[in-house]
Amino acid sequence: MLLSQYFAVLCTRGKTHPYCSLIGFAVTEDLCSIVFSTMKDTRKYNNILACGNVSFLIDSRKNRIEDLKDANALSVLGEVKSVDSGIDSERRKFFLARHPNLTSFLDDPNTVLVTVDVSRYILVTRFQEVFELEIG
Amino acid sequence: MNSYIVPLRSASKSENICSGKAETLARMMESGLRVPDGFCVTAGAYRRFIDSTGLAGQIVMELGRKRLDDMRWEEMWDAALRIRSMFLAAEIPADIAGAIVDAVGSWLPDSPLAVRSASLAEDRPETSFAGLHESFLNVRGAEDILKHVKLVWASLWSDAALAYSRELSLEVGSSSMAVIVQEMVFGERSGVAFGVDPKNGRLAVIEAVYGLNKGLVDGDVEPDRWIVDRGSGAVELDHVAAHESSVIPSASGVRIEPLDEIFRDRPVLFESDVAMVFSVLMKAEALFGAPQDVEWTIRGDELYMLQARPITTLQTAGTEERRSYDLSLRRSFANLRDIRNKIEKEYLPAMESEAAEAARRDFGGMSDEELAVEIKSRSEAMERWRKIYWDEFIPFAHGVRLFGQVYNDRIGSDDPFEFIDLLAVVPLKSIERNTKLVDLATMIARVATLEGRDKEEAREEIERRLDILVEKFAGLSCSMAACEDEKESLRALAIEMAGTPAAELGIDAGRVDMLEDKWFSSFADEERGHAAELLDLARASYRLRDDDNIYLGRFESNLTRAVEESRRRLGERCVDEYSCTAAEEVIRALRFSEYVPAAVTEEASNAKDQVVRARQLKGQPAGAGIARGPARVIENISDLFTIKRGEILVCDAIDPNMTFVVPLVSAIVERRGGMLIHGAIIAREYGLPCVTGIPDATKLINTGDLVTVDGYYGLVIIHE
Repeated sequence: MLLSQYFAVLCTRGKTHPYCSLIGFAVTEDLCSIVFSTMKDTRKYNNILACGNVSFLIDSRKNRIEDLKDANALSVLGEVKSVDSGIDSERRKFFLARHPNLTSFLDDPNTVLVTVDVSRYILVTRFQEVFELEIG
Repeated sequence: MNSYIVPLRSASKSENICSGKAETLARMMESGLRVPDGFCVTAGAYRRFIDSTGLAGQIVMELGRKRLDDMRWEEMWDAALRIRSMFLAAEIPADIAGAIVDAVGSWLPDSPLAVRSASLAEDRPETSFAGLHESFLNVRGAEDILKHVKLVWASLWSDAALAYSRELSLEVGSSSMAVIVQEMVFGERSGVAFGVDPKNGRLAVIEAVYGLNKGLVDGDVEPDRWIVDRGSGAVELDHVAAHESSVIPSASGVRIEPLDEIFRDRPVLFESDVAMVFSVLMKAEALFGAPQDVEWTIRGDELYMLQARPITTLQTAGTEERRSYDLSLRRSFANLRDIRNKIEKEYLPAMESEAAEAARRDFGGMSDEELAVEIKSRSEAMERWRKIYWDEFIPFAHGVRLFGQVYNDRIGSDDPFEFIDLLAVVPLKSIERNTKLVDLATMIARVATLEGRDKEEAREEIERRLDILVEKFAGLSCSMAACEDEKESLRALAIEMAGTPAAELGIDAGRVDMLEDKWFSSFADEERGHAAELLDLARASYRLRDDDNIYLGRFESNLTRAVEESRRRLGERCVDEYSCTAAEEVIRALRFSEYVPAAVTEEASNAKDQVVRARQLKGQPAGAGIARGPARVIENISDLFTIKRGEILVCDAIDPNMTFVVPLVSAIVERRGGMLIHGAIIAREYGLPCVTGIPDATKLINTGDLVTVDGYYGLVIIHE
């Protein structure tokens, strides 16, 4: 699912409420890190600066009734490790290999690449079956 | 007319709304063959029903518990029963219900009806769902007609249909279900006819029974058989049946009855009748351009065609074989009655005496060679009875299923397994034993309060009862590894039980009476005898589900004791606790003094070493309630004796010989799935939460894990 899905829901910690955003993501081969991009003038960016603990939801819904048994949902818990412009970095190449359409977005000086160290994956299948994978 | 109702004579397959079965009937009507009139409730009505009631989602949830490939037959039956109950509880949209009732009023007023399945996938050239869905005869009145339309719809999800879909890798439920409603023709003689004998292409075969065709199709009534030469039309009577019974109409539905003496020696058909059946068979073949398999009935002098389909055995040998097997897992009442007689009058007494006779044979005077022969004999006896168990005892479990289906159809409870409470009135053998153990625990607890002579007497009584427990239920709580210490193990367990009151049996006599009243009052006066027979059969079936393993356990225990004797004699040649457990190995070692038995290695499992950890596991809800406690995972029988009060029993497959610890535990989790497996039966008896059907339960859960068992939904939560 980490390879088949391009987008995830990112959850950051806001001042009064948890805050959800849809983001494009890429995961490293060892499953230890997830990378996404964001502009600096956003709620999620400010939330991250205030608190690096984030989670993601990645799922395989098709918006059909069969999703109840067929859809999988993966919650990912982690902590922001770095925030940088990523210009000419390996990280930038890695991210663009997954999202080539976001090249111009990354070129914007107001955009940063955020790298999250993953601590745990929680996979839910068949509506209620839950397995966890600890990282590190 | 509206989009939900099509007159039978204009049913058309091309629009894919009424099924091939309806189109076939329509074409036979057009060609002048006599077919009972009626109409078709379209597949569109079915789809609207499941969408508007939310059933579509509920079915997805029910079948989403686990992959169909991972389900045992019992789990499929449970799922099918739940789905059937959902259908019964749902309301047909008013416009569809109104259209059906109007159609009956217009075309078939005052007529008893046949309500028949017509799946769109039925009779496709590549598959044949024939017989896997349900049809109902002699249905009367608007309310009953609507109810039986729902039951036909539900049969799209019957256990046999699910099993067949799985075997052929068809997408489950991808089909849809139309319903054919026809005038009920009460034929005096009925039968089937095959345009071509699969074994000889020059011949046609005709079979006939007295009464309705259901007796023949279900296999309850043996038919007479004629062979007809397709070229000359020459008829030969091939087989005359015993003519003992026939299926006839009852107040609601049909029933099987003994046949009057005057029919006993009279063939069902005269030669002129056979010619008439052969004639319509050939007309159907000409009409459809291929040999047909037809069902017919004769009322007075008139022959009615009930169904025609291409002979599938000529085209789809593999799928036909599969379908036949799936159908064979269903048993009729008459068939179950026969199996019961055999089990109760023949098998159980034979098992009891054979096991007792073997147990009496003393090893003391036996030479090593004689002991080897004894072990071989005991091993063969166990295998022989195990085969009979699979072939006869397990199919008898269908008595409970048959009852459950009839109960739910008639009473329609919110709990599709309510009927089990009505069956659990006869003490199971394992519960009888467990109760003795609890009594012993009570006595042990009391000893502490006594003094002097009273205390001494109580201690003696405890020893006496322990001896009785060990003797009377010889070997039931032991295995290869634990048998020698059985008395001490039972003592330790009783002491654990003596701490605080153990779980009590959940049987509520008042509730049983109430359910009995519900059951019998759902039958007309003249049908109550049959209702009592059904209940009696189901109770026997339920009881045997537990007790049969205990009978079988005696053979296992006999073998274990003989093998233990050989271990004692072989001494150091048994290199570890596993090396002298296989019968063949010890026999060889007894015969050849140089031979050292091979060690039995357990299959290594690395599931627990993985980083991935289960947090929540989904199974089948098999005992209502919620319990939380530390898990006790049973990997071998000796683990049972380490159970502490309040723990959650987690096992691969509990059998009656293991249930003596159940009074101590607070919930049961089992790999095997189903409402009728022993773990579920015992959990229900004790009112414990139970979840079954969790693959790898014993690998994914560790002893000591704090777990919550949700027996309402079928969930096991493993806490951090």
